[in-house]
Amino acid sequence: MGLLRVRQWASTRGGVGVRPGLLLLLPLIATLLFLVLPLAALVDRSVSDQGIGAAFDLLGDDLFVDALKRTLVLSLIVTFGCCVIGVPYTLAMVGARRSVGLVLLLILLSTFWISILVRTFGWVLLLQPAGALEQVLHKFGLVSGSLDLFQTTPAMYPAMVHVMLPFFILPVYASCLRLDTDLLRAGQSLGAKPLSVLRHVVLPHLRPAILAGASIVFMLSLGFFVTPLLLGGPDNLTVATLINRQFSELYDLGTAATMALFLLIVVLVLYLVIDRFVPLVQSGAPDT
Amino acid sequence: MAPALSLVSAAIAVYLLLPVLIIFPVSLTSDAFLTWPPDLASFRWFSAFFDNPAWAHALEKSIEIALPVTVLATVLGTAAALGHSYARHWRRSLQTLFVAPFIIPVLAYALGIYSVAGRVGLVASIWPIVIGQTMVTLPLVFLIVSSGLAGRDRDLPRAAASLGAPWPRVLWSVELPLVRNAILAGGLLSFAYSFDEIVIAYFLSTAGGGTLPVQMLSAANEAADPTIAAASIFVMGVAMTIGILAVAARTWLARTPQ
Repeated sequence: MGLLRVRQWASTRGGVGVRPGLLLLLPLIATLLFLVLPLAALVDRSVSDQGIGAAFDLLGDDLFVDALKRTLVLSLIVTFGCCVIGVPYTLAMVGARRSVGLVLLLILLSTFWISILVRTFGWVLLLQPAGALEQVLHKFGLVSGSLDLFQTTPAMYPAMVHVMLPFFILPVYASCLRLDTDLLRAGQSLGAKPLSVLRHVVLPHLRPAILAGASIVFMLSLGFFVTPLLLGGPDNLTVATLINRQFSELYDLGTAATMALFLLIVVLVLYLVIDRFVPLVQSGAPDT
Repeated sequence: MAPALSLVSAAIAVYLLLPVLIIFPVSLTSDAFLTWPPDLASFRWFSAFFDNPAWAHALEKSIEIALPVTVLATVLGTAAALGHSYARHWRRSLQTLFVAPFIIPVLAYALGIYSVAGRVGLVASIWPIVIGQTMVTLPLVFLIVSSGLAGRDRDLPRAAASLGAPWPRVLWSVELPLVRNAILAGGLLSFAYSFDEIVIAYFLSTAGGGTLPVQMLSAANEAADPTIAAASIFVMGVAMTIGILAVAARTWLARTPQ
C-alpha cells in the first residue's frame, strides 16, 4: 500500500494494535515492588522506630539542623557555580569552530563518563594537606604554610561543581541545539550586536533549560554523599554524611531512616513545586 | 568566537580535566604514600591492585552485579519506553514514574531497600544491590530508548501491521531493530553505571566485601595508599573501553543494512 493508505488504514483500524498495557506490565510491577515498596519500608521503619512526625521533630535537633543548613548552603553554592561556569562553557561548545566545540564536548563527556568516586579522589589528591594544589601555590609564593583546605566545607565546592556540571550542561546544550539559527540571523540582519543577540534571543530561549538544569543540580546536591564523605570531616557533616554516621557507625537504622525520610520529603516537595513552573520532564504525542 | 569566551572555556576545560589527570602520575609513584610530587615510574601499585585478593574479590563482585543489572535494566527500560510510546493515557504520569528514581535521593532509597532486605532475610545476598541498581539505571535506559523511538519512522510498524503482522511480531521484527542503537547504548551505559555505582553498593554491602567502588571508598577513608590511584586508573580504563565499544558498535550497526 502507499504511505497515505497505510496511515489511513492505521487510523481507521485504531493503529498498529499494540497493547501498551502488556508492555508496561513488567516495568510497572518492578517499579511497584522494587521502588515503591522500599520507600514505604523506609517510612514504616521511621514511624515504627520513632513515631509519626519524628521527621519534623528532627528540626529540634541541633546536630541535624546544623547539617541541614550546611547542606542547603552547599547545594545553593554548587547550583550557582554550575550556572556561572556551565552557561559560558555551553555557549563556547555551540559557538566555537566545529573542531573546538567537539573537543570541549568530548572533555565534558569524558568527565561525565568517569566515575564520581574517581573524580572525587582526584580532588582529594589536589586538596589534601601537602597536596598538589598547595604545592603549586607555594611555588608561586601565593600561600605560605598549610592551606588547610582539607576536610573543610569550602573544599567541597569545586569538587561538587565538577561532579554536577555535566548534569547542568547537558540539558542546556540540548536546548542550544534546538535554537533556530534563523532567529540568530534575523537578529543580526536587523543590526543587533552579538552581545545583544545573546541577551535578547539566546538566553531567553535557554532559560527553561537553565532553570531545569539548576533544579536538577540542586536536588541532586541535597542528597549527595560521596564528595562530602571524602572531602569533609566529622566537623562539617551534611545531611547525607550525617545519615551515614547514624547508620554505619552508630548502627541506628531508626534515626537514619527518619533523617532519610526528611530528605526524601524535602526533595519530593521541591520537585512538585518546581515541576509546576519549569518542565523537568517532557512528554510527546502517543503513537498508534 | 569572542576571545574572552575562548579563554574562559579553556580555563573550564582545564578545571574539568585536572582532577582526573592528576591521578595518573600518583599511580606510578614508588612512594608508599599519596605524596606530591610523586617519585615516578614504579608499577608496584598496579601489581598491588591486581595481586591483592581483596581488590580482586571486589572486582569479581562488581562484575557479578553489573551483568544482571545490565540485562534487567535494558529489558525493563526498553519495555517501559515502548509501552510509553504507545500509551494513550497517563503519559506524563508514566514518564514521571519511570524517571523518578533519578530524582529520589539514592541514600533514602538504599536505606529503604535495606529495611526490606532485612525483613525478607536477603541481607547476605547480592540481589538487593542488583535490584536497587536496576531501578536506578532504568530511567537512563528509558530516556535513551524513548528518544530513539521518537526519531523513528512511525509508518514502518503501521505498514507491517497493515500487511497482517500481529502486534507482538511488529514489535519484535520492526520496532526493536529500529531502536537497536539506543538499546545497545542503554545497555552499555547501564553496565558502566552499575560498575561505578557506590551509594547502594556501600549501604547494602555484605560482610564478604563490597564491590570495587566500595573497596576504593574504604581504602580512601582508611589506609590511603597509592593502590587506590592504580584502581582508579583501572576503573577509568574500563569506562573508556566501554565508551569505545559503544562508539564502535554504533558505527558498525550503522553500516550493516537493516
